[in-house]
Amino acid sequence: MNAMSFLEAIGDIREEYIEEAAQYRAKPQKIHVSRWISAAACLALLAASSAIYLKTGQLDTSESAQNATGASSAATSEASMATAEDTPMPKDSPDAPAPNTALFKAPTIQDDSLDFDSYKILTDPILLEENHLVTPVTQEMMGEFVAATTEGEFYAYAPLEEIPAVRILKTADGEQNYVLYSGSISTGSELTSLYGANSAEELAFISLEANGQESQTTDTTVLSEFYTTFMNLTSQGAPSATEDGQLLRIGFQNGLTLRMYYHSEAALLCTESDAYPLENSLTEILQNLS
Amino acid sequence: MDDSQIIELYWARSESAITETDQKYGSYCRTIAMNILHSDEDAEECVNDTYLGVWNAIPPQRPTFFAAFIGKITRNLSLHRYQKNHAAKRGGGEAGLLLSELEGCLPAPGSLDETMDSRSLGELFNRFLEGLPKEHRIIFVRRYWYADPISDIAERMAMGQSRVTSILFRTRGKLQKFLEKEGVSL
Repeated sequence: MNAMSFLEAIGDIREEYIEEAAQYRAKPQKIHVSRWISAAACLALLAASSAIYLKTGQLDTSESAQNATGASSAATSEASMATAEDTPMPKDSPDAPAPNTALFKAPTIQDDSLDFDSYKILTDPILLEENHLVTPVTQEMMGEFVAATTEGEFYAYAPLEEIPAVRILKTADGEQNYVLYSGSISTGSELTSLYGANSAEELAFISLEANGQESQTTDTTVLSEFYTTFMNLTSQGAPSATEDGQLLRIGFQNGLTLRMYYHSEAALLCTESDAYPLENSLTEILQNLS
Repeated sequence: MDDSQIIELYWARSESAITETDQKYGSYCRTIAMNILHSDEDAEECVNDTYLGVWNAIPPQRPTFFAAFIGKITRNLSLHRYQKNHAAKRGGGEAGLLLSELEGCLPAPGSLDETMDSRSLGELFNRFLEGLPKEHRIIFVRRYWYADPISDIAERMAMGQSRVTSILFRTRGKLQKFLEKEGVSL
C-alpha cells in the first residue's frame, strides 16, 4: 500500500461528498456597518470635547454638555465593545482584564522584518521528522519566491506558504533544502506568529524532556494558559548560558515544532538567539510539566 | 440543459450529448485535470478521453450525480497520466504534494490488510468522512479528490491558508489513527 493507492482509493468515495464539496462556498464575513458608525460617532465626540477643552481649558460640565454626552453614550459603549474585541487592552493597565487568548491576535511577522542570513539549513532527520518535512524537496513543494540573497533563492514552503519559520533555499548549484529561521525574535507573540500560530487553538502540545524522559501535555486549558503567558515574553538579548537546559518542544497544529531550552535556575527560556526571562506563572506550568 | 436531459442524449446515442457535456462540464473537468497534471496539453487529452469514457459508460449506467460521475473519470485518467509522466520524470502539479502529504498518514505496516482493494479502502474512507465535521470533510475532499491548491481552498472556505493547512494536518492524523484501528479490527 502506498500514497498513490490511497489517492486512487479516495476516488471511490460517495458521490454525495463530491457534490457537497463542489457546491459549498462559505459566505464572506459580514461587515457590521453599525459598529463603524458608532465608532465614528465616538471619535467625533472625542474630537469635539478636545476642541472645547483646548479652547476653554476645561471640560464643559453644563447640563447641555451632559445631555450631549448622554445621547451618545449608547454609541460610545457599543463602539467600545466593538473596539475591545479587535484590540487588546494595554497589559500594564491595572484594570485591564486578562487578555482573552481566543480573541487576542499576535502581530504578524512579515518577511521583510526577518534576517535571511539567520535561516539555517535543516538536515537533521530528527528535526525534519519533528516538523513533518518530507525529503527530498521537490519542485512541487516550492511555493512563491520570497527573496534572493548571496546564499541563494528563498521560496515559501508550499503547504505552509504563509509561515516564515520554514522556507526552502535553492542554492546556485540547484540544490534545494529546507531552512529554519533561527534569528533573533523580540517577543513571545512574534515567535508564535513566526510559526503561524495566532491563537491558543493553534497549539497542539508542549513537552519537556530531561534525562532522556519526556513529559507532554495536550490539555487545552494548560495550552491556553501557556500561550497567554508565553505571548508576554520579551527577549533580554542573546543567551549567555552555555549548558543545555531542559528541551521544551512547542508543537503547533500545522505540524511545526519550536524548540527552546528551559533553564529552571535562571528562570529563562532560550532559543539559539534569544533568552526570555520567565514570569512565575509560566515557570509554574513548566515545573508542573516536568 | 439539466443533467437528466444530457443523460437522455447519451441513452439516445446522440452526439450532441458530448457537446452539451463539454459546454456544461468542460471547465470543471479541465480544472480537475490541470490540478493534477499542471499541463494544458495533458489536461486536454484527459478531458477528451473523459468524454469517450462517459460515452462508453452511458448506457448502461444512469448516474445520479452526473458531475461527480464525470469528475471521477477525469480524475482517474489524470492520475494514471500523472503516474506515466512521473515515471518519465515529466510534469508537475499538485499531485506530487498530495502524495507527500498522504505518505505521512499511511497506517503502520501490518496494521492494515496490504492486499485490501481500492473499493474496500474507498468504503473505509466513506466511513471516515462520515464522522468528520462538514467543513473539515469538504476541505479534505477539495484537497485530495479535487486536488485544489491550498490557496483555492482557503478562498472557497473564507479562511486563512494557515487554518486550512492545520485542518488538513489534523484530519490526516485522525485518518491514520482511524485506518490503523479499522485494520486491526478486520
